[in-house]
Amino acid sequence: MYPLQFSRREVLRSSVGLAGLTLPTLLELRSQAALAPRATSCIVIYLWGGLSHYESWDPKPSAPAELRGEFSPISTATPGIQYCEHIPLIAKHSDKLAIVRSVHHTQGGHQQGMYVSITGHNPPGGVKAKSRDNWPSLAAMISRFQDPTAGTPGAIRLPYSMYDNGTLMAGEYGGWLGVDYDPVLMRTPAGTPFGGVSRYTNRELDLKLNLQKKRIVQRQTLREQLERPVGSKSDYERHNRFRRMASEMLLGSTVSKAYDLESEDPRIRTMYGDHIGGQSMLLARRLVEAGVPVVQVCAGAGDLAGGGGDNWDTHRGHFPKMKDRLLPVFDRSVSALLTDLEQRGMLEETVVVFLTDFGRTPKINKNGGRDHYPAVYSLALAGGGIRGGQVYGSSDSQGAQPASNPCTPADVHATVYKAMGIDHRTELYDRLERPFQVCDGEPLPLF
Amino acid sequence: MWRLNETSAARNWILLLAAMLVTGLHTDAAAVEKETLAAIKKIGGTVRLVAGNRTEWKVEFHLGGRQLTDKDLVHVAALKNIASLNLRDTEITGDGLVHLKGLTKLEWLHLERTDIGDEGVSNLAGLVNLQYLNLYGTRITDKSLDQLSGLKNLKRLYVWKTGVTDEGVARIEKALPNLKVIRGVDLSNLPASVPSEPEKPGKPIKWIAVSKASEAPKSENGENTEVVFENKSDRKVKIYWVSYGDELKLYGELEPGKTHRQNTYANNTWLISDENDKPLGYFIVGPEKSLAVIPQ
Repeated sequence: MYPLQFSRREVLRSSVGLAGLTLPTLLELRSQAALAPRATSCIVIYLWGGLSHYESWDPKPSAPAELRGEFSPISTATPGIQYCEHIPLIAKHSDKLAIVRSVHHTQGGHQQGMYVSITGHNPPGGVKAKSRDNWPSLAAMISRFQDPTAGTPGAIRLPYSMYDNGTLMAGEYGGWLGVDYDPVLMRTPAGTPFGGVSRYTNRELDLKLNLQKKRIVQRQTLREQLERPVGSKSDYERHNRFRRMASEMLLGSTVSKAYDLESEDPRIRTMYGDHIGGQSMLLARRLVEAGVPVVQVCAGAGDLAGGGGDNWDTHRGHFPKMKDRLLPVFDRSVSALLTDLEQRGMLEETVVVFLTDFGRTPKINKNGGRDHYPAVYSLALAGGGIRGGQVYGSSDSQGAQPASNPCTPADVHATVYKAMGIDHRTELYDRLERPFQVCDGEPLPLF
Repeated sequence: MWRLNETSAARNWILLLAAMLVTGLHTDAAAVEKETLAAIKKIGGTVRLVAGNRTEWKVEFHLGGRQLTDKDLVHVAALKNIASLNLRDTEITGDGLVHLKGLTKLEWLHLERTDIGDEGVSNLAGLVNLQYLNLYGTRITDKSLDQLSGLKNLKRLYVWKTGVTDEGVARIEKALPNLKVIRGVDLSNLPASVPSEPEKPGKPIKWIAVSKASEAPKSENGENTEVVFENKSDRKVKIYWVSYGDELKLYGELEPGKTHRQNTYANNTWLISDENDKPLGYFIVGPEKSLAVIPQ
């Protein structure tokens, strides 16, 4: 069914660097990419800093007081499943959520924990944000399998990049897939900002989406050139320039309409909350609706900045910060997103996955905080054919070790790939033509 | 021997003939299919095989083919072997649904946000394999639900922003125990805005006039906070951050009469210059939100 002639655009999208450009690989990829029929889009919600599993998906009411913390569990819409009391709105959506309580890895630093969580692979030593030797993020990898002619960027990130005290973090980019697969950063155009957004994240330029009319004509010409079949004249040296211009072009139409939050029903906007956390979730929904295959939302201030701002790295004053600043925005925005995806009939075809660096320590430290803890923590998934109202795996009574079905971030990635009909064992080639499997994990039985 | 050979030859001929016939038919069917696919693509549709090693098609118009009208649906009807069809946001009406009548392999059907009322929905009553039907944002009422209550395989029915009522939903849910009807939030109960807290004005900080950049001290570190610059002069100014390493970093330009909100840290120095980079003065940010007024 596929023509043996590939447009330039397809070739540009399909190449893993220039060396990996082979048509058989592309054909093979397409035939392998069919597994499950459900999800066509994905929303990755990233909780930068490390979400405490105790104060979210895995409360431990019977643990000793110095471990269980100040909060109580609450019942959810699913009999027998309890969440933390400060996410009461999300608790009403437990029938849509699959909670994985037995995730673990061995990376205790933010950069390392984020890297393994967002790429599914341990970071190399001395990892650098801009290096093309890095593994692609989950979002970048998903965009690798999308229809390149769809007319939207393959992956978008909102609303900040991740920094740690001013250092840009590695992991949320296209890595060895190449610059074409770097998810495009967009600044959410509305909402009260997270507290403690640093100058580093603030400095990132907003994408200007307003197109001038006279330039559209040029873009159409450009588009024709892009769609022209690859013939005897090869212009590979213009590869990157074309890609950049193509991205700009693609941002011109449906995506810029989706970006205009003013055109959303004000009651729906209010449902998500008057905060950049909520407005980013709303924008994610609008982008997915406009055909963007994958949107990643950083649900917190982009820079950890020593834990001072509204991020999940709660070494100090954990309980008041969670209760007063972090969980209310999270609860409202996530519950609104699930409500909205569901009522539009989009949840069946959109897999929502929550990722974070690691959990937090069982023991509360002398500053009333919890420290980094990768030995066991919780993640969550919804939509895309994943059965809600279930808990997979468990941690022990103190929340300190996996007690059943231990699994890794890579297993959670494999689950997302399965929901999206992407064979996670597909081989891809990096810039040195070395073969890599898309994901080393195995899908969890959540369907 | 000879007779045997003759029989064998005849059989071979028959086989060959049959093979040619089948190939010929196959080519015809393939040609028709190819034409139909081309017609669908021409009107902005995308066609793919349904994932999962299946042979049915997934046809979508909701992204590139929103101008689709009722008469265009003949091309969709011609493809027949469709398991998933998305017509969201297209120009179709209830009259067009007659074309979907023969698509009995349909499992997923998106009709949301189209101009469909009760008048066309009876055409869907025979789509016995439907599992997912999205009618949100259409004009349908309980009458449509009654017409759909024979779809035994239906698991999800989306009716947000339609005219259906509690009674209609109760009737179809009783008729189809495996069905979940998704009604969505009641918009009339949602506020259009939340009263936002009045913004606290910043605490004014001191303007120190200088003529040389070297007179401005380099920034000291402190807690994260905010500064609002207000340009009360009659000219455009430039805003520089004096870094911890004593460099100047341009953060923006500010027109006369305008304000600019800037994230910063306490004890940071901000140098203001004119358009030609001639220093005019500086501010040192305080521990709380600061107001930095650039004087005349």
